[in-house]
Amino acid sequence: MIKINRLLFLIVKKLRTRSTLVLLLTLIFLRFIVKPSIPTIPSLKDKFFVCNLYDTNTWHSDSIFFKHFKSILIKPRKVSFEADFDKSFGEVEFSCKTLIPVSKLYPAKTLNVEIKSNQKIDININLRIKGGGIPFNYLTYNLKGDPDNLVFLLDQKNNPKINWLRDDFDEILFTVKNFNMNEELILEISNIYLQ
Amino acid sequence: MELSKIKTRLTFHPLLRFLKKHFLFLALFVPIMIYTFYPIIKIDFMDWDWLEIEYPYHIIPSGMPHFMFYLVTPYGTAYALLGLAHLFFGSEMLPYYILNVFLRAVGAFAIYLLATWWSKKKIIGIVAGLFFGVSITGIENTNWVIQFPAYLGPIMLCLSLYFWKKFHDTPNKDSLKKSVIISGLAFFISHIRIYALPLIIMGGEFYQYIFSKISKKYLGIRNQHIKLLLAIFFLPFVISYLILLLTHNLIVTANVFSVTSPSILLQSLTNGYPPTIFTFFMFIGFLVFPPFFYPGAAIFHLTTTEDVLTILSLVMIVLSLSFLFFCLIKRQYLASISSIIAVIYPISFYLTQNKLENLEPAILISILVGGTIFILLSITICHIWNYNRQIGELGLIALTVIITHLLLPWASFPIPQNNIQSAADPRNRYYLIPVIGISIVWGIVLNSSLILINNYWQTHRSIIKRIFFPGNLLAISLIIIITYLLSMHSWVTHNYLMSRSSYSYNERLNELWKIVKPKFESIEDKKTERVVYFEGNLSAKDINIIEYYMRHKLSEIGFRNPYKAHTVFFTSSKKVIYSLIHQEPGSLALLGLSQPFSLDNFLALRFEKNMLIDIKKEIIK
Repeated sequence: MIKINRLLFLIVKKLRTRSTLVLLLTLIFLRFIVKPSIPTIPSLKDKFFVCNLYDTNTWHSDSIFFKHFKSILIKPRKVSFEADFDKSFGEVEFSCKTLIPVSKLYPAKTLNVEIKSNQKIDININLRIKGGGIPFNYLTYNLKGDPDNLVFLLDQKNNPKINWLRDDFDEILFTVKNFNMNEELILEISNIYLQ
Repeated sequence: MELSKIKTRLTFHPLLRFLKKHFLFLALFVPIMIYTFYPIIKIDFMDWDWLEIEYPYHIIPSGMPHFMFYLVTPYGTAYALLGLAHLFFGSEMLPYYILNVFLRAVGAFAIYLLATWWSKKKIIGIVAGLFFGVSITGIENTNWVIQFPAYLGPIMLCLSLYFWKKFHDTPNKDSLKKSVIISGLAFFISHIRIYALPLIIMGGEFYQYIFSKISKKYLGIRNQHIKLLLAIFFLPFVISYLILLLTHNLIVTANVFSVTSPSILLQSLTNGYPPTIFTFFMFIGFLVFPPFFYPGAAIFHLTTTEDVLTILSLVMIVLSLSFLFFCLIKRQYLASISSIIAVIYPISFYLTQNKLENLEPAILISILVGGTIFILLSITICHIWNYNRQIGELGLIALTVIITHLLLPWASFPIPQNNIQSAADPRNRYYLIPVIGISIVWGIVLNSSLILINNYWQTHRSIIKRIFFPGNLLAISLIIIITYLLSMHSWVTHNYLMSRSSYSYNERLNELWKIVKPKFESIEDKKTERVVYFEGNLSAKDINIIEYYMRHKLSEIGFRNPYKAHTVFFTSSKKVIYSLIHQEPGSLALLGLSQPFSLDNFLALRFEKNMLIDIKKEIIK
C-alpha cells in the first residue's frame, strides 16, 4: 500500500502542469469522440400526459376561421366543442394550452393521441412555443383515416428532434382538414401523452 | 544632381513604396483573383438579392427613431450600408458585384498584413491572404451580392486584433484608447458576423495573464484595458437584450437568445448522440476539405462511397499513426500523446457513420478527412508554440477564431436541415470568419514545411539524404497539398460563379416590375391581402420566374415589414381563381390566404409585348 502511494506521489510529481493539461484535454476529447460509437439512448420511463381534459379553459381557438367557438365539459375527461366556421378555408384549427417540458420531450420517442372520428380526416399536430403572438411551429404530421391511436414519431429523418428542442413547449395545435364539411364532424380525444 | 532628385522622388512615392513592399503578394493575388471572380460580370441578382435590396427603403421612411433603433439591431449596419449603396448604384448589378469582390480583396489584404506583421513571416501572410481571397467555403457572401457589408467583418477583426496586440507590446494610454475604440467599433459594425470577438479578446487577455511576464508598472493599465473591453463588449448585448425585453416578452427574448436548448445540447453530447459532435466536425471539414473537392466514388474505380470511406478511414489512421511515431522519434511526448485523438477519431467515425443518416456521402468524407487533418493541424500549432511564440500565438488565435465562430452554428443546427439558415452548406455565409482562421493555419503549416526543408538541407549535403529524409518528404507533401487546396478553391469558386452567370432574366423582370409597381403604389391600405392573376404568351419558365420574383418582391417584404409593404399572392392558375371567386371549400388554402377573398382586392392582368391589360371583368365573367 505504501509502495503504491509512493508511486502515485512520484507520478504526480513527475507530471508538470503542461503535461497534466495535455493529458486531461486528451482524455476529455477522447471521451466525446469515442462515445458516439456506443451512444446511451435515453427513454421516458412512464407516459407523460399532456393537455388537460378536465378543464375547458385550456382548449381554445384563435383561428379566424371560426365564426363561433365554445368548449363545453360534458363529463370528466370528455370535452366537447361547438363550432361554426368559414367553409372556404377548408380546415378547422383548435389548440390546448399545456406545459410540455423540453426535458420530457428529449427522452420521449412518440406523441400519442387517442382519437375517434366519425369521418375520414387529415390531421396535423404542431407543438408550439407561443409568445408575443409569434407561434413557432415545429411538428407537422399528416395522417389519413380514423385510427383510435395516432402515433407521431418525434425524431424524424427530415426534421430531427434535437433541432427543434429549444425550450419548453406550451401549446398543441390540431389542424383537421379534408373532411366532408356538409356533414357533422365528431372528434373524441381521450388521451394525449408522450412515450 | 537633377537625376538623383528624380530618383529620390520615385523611390519614395507612397504608391511605389507600397507596391514594392507588397509586390510578391499582389503579383500572386491579383491574377488569381481576376481568374476566380471574372464570371461576376455576367451574374444577375438572385431572388434573395431582390428581396433584401428593397428592405432598407421600408425601414427608413418609417421614421428616424425607428431607423435609429434598427441601427443597433444585429443587421442594422448591414442594411444601412446596403441602403447607401442603393443610393449610388440603384438597380444596376455590376457595381454591387465589383464592390463585393473589392471588399473581399481588402479583407484578404488585411489578413495578409495582420499575419505578416504578427508572425514576421511574409509567406504566412501571403498564403493566408490567398486562401481567404479565393475560398469556396462561405462564397455565399459574394454570390449573394448584397451581403457585401459582411466583408467589413474580417477587416474589422484584423484591425481589432492588430491594435489589441499593439497594446500588449507597448502598454500605454494611447495604445489603450486605440485598442478599446477599434474593438468596440468592430463589434458595433459587424457583430452579426464577428460575434465571438469578445471571446477571442478575453481569451487573449487570459493567455497574457498566464504566459506573459507582466511588470508591476503595467499591471494597472492592463487591468483598465480589460475592464474597458468588458464594458464595451457587454454594453451592446445588455442594450439589445433590454430593448427586446421591453418590446417583446420574456419568452420571445429567451427564444432569440437560445436556438437549441443548451441543457439538451449538453445532454446529447454526453449521451453520445452521434450527429451532435460530428456536426461540429462537419463544419470543420467544410473548412479543411470542402465536399466539392471530392470527385466521387467512380473516379477511384470503387462502386460505393462506403468503400471510399473504409479506405479513407484506413488512410487517416495510417496518417495519424505516422504523425504519432514521428513525434515519438523526435521525442515530442506531449504531441504524441495528444495525437492519439487523431488516431481514434477515424475509428470512432467509421463505427458511427451509419448513424449519420441525413448526411450526403461527400459530406461524410469531409467530416472524416477534414476532422482528422484539423486535429493534426491543431497539435502542430500547439507544438510550434513551444518553439516560436510569435507564430504559435498567431496559430492559437487562428484556431480560436475557427472554434469560437463555429460554436454558434453548431449550437443552432446540430443536424443539417433543408433550411436556408442551416450551416449544412459549405457555401453558407456563416463560414466567412472561420475561413480566416484556416487560411492562417495553412500559412503557418507552409512556413513550417519550408523551415523543415531549409534546416535539413543546410545540415545534409548528400542529395539522396536530402530528398528521402521522412521529414523532408512530409514537408514536400504538405507544400503540394496546400498548393492543391489553393488551386482547388480557386477553380471550384470560378466554376460555381460561372454556373451562376448562366441565368439572365433580370432585365425582363425589371420591365415587368415597372408595369406592375404603379398598380400597388396607388393603393394605400396595405394590410389587406391581395390576389394577382396574370396570363400572357409566357413559357412555363417565365411564369415560374415571374411568380417567384413578384412574390419575393412584394409579399416577402410584406411578411418582414407589415408597416409598409403589400401582402400579395400571385397566381397564373385559372383553376385557383375560379375556386376563389366561387368560394369553393378549401380555396383559400390553395394560395395560403388568411383573410376571406374579396373581388375588391383582386387584380387580373395580361402581358402582351410588355403592355399590361386589365382583364378583371373578363375573368369575373
